[in-house]
Amino acid sequence: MSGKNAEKTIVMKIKRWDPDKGEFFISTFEIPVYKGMTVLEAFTYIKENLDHSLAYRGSCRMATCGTCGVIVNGKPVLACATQILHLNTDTIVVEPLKNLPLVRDLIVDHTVFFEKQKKIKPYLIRRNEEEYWDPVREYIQTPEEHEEYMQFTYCLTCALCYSACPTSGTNMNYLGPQALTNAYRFIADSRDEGTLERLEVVDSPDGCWGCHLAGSCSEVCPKGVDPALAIQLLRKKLAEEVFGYLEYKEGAKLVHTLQVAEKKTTRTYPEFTVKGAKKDVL
Amino acid sequence: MFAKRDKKYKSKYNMAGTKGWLENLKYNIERYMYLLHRITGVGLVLYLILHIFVTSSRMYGVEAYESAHGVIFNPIFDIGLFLVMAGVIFHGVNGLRLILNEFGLLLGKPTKPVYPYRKVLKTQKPRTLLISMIIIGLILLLIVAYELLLVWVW
Repeated sequence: MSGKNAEKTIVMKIKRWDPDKGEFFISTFEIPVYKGMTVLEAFTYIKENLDHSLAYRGSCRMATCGTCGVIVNGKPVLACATQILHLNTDTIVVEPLKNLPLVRDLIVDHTVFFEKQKKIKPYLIRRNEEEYWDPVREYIQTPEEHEEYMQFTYCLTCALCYSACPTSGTNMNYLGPQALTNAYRFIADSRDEGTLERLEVVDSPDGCWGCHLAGSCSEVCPKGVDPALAIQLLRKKLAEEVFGYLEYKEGAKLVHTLQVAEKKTTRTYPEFTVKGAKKDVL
Repeated sequence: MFAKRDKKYKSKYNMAGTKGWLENLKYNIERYMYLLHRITGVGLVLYLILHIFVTSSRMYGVEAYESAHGVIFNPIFDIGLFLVMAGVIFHGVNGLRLILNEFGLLLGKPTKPVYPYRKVLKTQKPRTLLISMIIIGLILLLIVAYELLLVWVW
């Protein structure tokens, strides 16, 4: 904090979970805020100066790891990507994320969330087992094919969408916006051949039919992944499958041997500029 | 050892439950639509029970049926009927919007996530659909109000 001038003092109310008693309690702190201070930095300030027992989670401080998700003033956000002065309030209420088991204070257990992601098989499925386990070359994919699912690969698995979703709030078995988006990400991937396997998993009231298009998931997503769009497109795929329109794509082929060979022969190396360097060193 | 510790430290599912319907409302209009769609859905089921109760009085003869209608024939019930019709219109019109959007129609394609991020529900096509559905609903509501007023004016 030293060297930075505090612009104003704000009151931060933190709704904390006490695992021993099994109930919430609220701690109130006064924090001097400087320009550019994030909610995560405020947590660090509290832990260093005011209350050492505060438990929170954070790692990268730049909205890349997705561990510091909390609810600030009613909206699920990443604590590291939310500046306190941008909130324009003197009192900030912080809560742990919803729809997930609580561990302590602001920490929630993401295990359930990750288990749901595993259900939709988040990996490339290929029919040729031999080639799948021992890949020799990369798969061919055009930039246009990449753009079809590129937006959905930016997911951090931070569970903000899961916390904001009203269906996840009432149905524990609902896969959630994140898992369904990931399912669509692999179905739209031109290299993948497991479309039917994934459609089988998501075709249920706990899958993509549980979505009622409230749109909150897209609203809170810190990376612009837009889960609402992905789930509707997933439904489109299912409808196409039911009415017999679905194109059963064949997975992208491997890069041809000849293409690789040509590249190798045409590659040029720079001339040796150091005196006395031996050519056989390379 | 760890099992014992796990039992000691209670864990609670922090489910939002039906209270969660009232959260995150102010960020997009679709969330209000979601809330109203749920409420009108429950309201219509409750109305259906009342409706069956009234019409089933016909089983006990014409007189019973007409006396049941005599109870309903007053302005208070007409206001209730207007609210029911508003619910029906909203549920129907919004349902049409949901059917179109939920099958991926009028939503467009995914784009590159370039800041400021695009939210597909806030793009032109879904917004036009939503606004036009609201206008259609309001017109239908005016017609219903006119019809209900006619009974009491003449």
